[in-house]
Amino acid sequence: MRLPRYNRHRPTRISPANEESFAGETRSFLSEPSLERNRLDGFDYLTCILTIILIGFGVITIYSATYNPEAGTWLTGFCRRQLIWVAVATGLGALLFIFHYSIFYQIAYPLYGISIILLLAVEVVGSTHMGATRWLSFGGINVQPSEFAKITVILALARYLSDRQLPPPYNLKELIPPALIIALPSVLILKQPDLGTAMLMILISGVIIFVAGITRGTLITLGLSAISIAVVGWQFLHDYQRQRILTFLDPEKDPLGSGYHIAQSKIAIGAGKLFGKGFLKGTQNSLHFLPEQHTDFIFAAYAEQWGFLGVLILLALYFAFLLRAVHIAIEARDSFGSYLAIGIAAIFFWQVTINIGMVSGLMPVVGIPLPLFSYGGTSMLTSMILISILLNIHYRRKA
Amino acid sequence: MTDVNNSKRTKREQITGNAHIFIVIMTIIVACITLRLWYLQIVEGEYYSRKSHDNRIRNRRIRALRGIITDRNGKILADNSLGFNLQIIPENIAKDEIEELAALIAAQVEGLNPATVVKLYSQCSTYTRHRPLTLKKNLSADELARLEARKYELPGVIIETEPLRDYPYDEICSHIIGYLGFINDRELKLDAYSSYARDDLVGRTGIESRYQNKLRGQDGLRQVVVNARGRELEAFTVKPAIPGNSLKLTIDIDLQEFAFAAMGDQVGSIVAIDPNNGEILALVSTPSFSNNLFSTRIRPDDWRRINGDPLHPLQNRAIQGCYPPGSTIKPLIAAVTLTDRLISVNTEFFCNGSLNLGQTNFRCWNRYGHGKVKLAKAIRESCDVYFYNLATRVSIDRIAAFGNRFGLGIKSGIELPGERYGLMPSSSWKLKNVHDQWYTGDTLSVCIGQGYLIATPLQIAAMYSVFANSGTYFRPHLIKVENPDNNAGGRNPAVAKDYAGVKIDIRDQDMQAIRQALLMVVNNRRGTGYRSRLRTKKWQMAGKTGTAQVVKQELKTLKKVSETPWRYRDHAWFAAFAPFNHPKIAIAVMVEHGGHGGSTAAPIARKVIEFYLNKINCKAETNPDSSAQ
Repeated sequence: MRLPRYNRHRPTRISPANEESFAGETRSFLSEPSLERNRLDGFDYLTCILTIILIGFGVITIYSATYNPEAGTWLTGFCRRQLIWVAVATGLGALLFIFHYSIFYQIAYPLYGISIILLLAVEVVGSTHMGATRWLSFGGINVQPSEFAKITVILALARYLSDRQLPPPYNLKELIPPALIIALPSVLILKQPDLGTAMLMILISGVIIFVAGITRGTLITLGLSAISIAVVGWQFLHDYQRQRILTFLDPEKDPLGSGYHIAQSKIAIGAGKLFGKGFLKGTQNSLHFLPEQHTDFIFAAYAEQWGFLGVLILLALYFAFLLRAVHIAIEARDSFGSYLAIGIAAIFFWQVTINIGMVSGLMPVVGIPLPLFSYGGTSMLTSMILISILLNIHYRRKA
Repeated sequence: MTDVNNSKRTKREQITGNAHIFIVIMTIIVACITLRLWYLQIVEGEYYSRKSHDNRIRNRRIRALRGIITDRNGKILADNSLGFNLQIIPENIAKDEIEELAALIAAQVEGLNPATVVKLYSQCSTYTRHRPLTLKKNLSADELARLEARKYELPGVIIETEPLRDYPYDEICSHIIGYLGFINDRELKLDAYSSYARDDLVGRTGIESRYQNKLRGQDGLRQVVVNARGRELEAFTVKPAIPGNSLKLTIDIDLQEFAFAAMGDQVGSIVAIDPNNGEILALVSTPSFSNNLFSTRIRPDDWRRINGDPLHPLQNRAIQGCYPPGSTIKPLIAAVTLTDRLISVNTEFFCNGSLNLGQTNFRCWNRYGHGKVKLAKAIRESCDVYFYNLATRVSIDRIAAFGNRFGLGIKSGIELPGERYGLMPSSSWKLKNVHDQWYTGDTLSVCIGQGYLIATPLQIAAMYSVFANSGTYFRPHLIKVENPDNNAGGRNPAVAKDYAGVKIDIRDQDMQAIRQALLMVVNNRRGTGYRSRLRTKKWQMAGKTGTAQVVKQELKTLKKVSETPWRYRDHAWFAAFAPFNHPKIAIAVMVEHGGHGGSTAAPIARKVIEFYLNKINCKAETNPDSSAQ
């Protein structure tokens, strides 16, 4: 067996032969190689550097998006709070990195259960903003359980699929249990109502199941049923959700109403042209024409200032990050790690796609932030936990 | 690797293979997004760049100041002033504060109900909340002071200034100046108003209307950078506003004011003209109205009061009132007959109180008759029979042609809208409009200023300036200098020739005979205007009384004026000029239903003339005519 150069210090406790039967095996959570041994050569520096660059770009853009020449230094306001969140999230990520990622295998179902309970709690005691009940309040801190459920669903799915003795590809009947795992939180989130997150959860799970392997017939059946569900689902949409989709189809119809966000964001992006208007010179952004310019629409603020060239660089960074994540999935020690890594790649991929597609007018406006970039503590925490798991999977990858 | 089922690959094989498909799918989707952004930023970049510019740049109009109108001595007749309007900006006021704020505002300002403020506030939609709401226009100085003092307790409250028009002399010359009104939707659609915008003020009557294009100036352009809520961040002037041209009128506002006061509450008109050039010194029409009421939107009850007045104060009687000129026409009849050599100065007729023509008996105003009458006596004592005799000798068409030279029956061309041309009848006019031939009897009526003949006070004044300056007709006008600030010369030379005098071919001895007769009307003890002779010996006034019948004499058979109902009383005329030898002023006074010209109109004319000559400090006549008897 060919050993990679940096693997020579790593004792392989699980042989490749019994990789498939990884499930059920018991061992210490503080598995080797441990950090005390100061062996960081298995660490994925590329992912790390990409993350740092993306967060850096994000912080700079948040600074420019909330820049107010009359108010103090640049370390005030959103920018500083974002940096605090980055520090907190990095600390949490580093803490999780200590444990072998199999700890997530152990607690996948309990976490899933907790997230379902939280989603149910939202139904009962959730706080309502702008007509949607999405938040739980813990002593002043608002938590969005759907964000948490996104992670627990991929954990549960990864565990279920890796536990499964029957090798893929799976047919429709075999997909019923994983479908239920996805459906339960999705329906609860859809009831909040949060169409965007529910759709996102289904798309992410879809990628995991697709990569795990399904038969061609199942793929076709699922595709057809998705279309019919879309048609039937239209009847059950809330008025504001329908309105969003309609204005997405024709944003000029109501430029000051629902289409305003899309129209202004397209103007901001387009006005950036090739080289951009320059740092802090985005008028769409600084004069507040751009809605939510530091959260969901931050990409438009970035594109206005840095132009198409800046956009290309940003997309290249994200793409490199995604390729790296998929590569980690392929190289993972076991199928649980693979499914988990693919799920993480899918989360980032769909969030980036939906967010940029939304601000550039390719998709309806749904409240999905741009990961690592948008202002927001929850989003930053989630992203950093996911990256930490990704690094974990890579660090403890197969020999 | 243990493979249970050969038809199925292992999990790892599945993952590796499908992950690569996922990479391909990702690549395609990322490529789509890149293409989309390339389309937005490169292909459509210019378009969005422009939209971004339009988004934040608002073009704001800088209203040009309207030109100022002054009198001949530079006293301001129409000025610009500022009106202060109370406004609130809804977006700067929180919902739970509005009730308290409304109560506070209403306490400072009269006639404002807190409930209305709250109602207006709550009617604002999300997208109109940044626009100011006007709560009250034209704040008084008191209200303004109270609001300014409490400025910090009133967040979201602003005082907007708005250019207004101010007329210091108000009703005294409102018929000349006119007033402004907001442009209406119908006008906005017309090509002539293509450069106007909603809320623009346009002249509605008078000089304001006639000189609208010169007075309005050119609006400037200011560009402001606004944020998404419409708040102005910075502004820069792209095109400065060019104020409108000022106008200097020929009016002497002191004279105008005096004449207006002299009319008292009598209904009528006074027109004073400088006979040497046709400049109108005063143009009074009573009753008048306050044009300041029109400076902003006129209140409905004010409008009803002015418009519903039976005396029609909006009518400018000086140019729109057409009256039979009565005996004031007689010098003109004398002039035409003398010029055509139908009579001489010494031709004598006998007046026994009336003249029979066919079946009809034409009466002299003096039923006892004037006896033997020559021209001088005929004018002096206004003998009707003398002029009936002239009428039998002269054709109406000749009178009409001659009258036109004096400005009768034609528009004078005064710079005011709505001028009427009266009527100088002719045989062809009668045929066309009355469908009957001209009879000599009609000429008889015309020769004493009755019948079909009607004229405006302005026309009579213009006619008497011809007698004043011994034979030159000047077009009466109101504009002395256009744009007095940066134009040294007066009028456009192309137009100037219209204002040059036109010499009327009357032999000088005939003209002097008529003038002498007019002098005697006022200065001879037997003259009809003797009571109104000037009280000073410095100057002499010449003039002619006139009494125009409103209804036929038979209806009020010889009743005294005071016993006749007001609306049946005769119109009183007096036309005059002074000083006799070098006239400075020619005047026509018309008092509707004033009774006799000599008793009602002439004293007004005398006072006005004395005031004017004193005012301009006119030097005494070198040789006061001693022929006054």
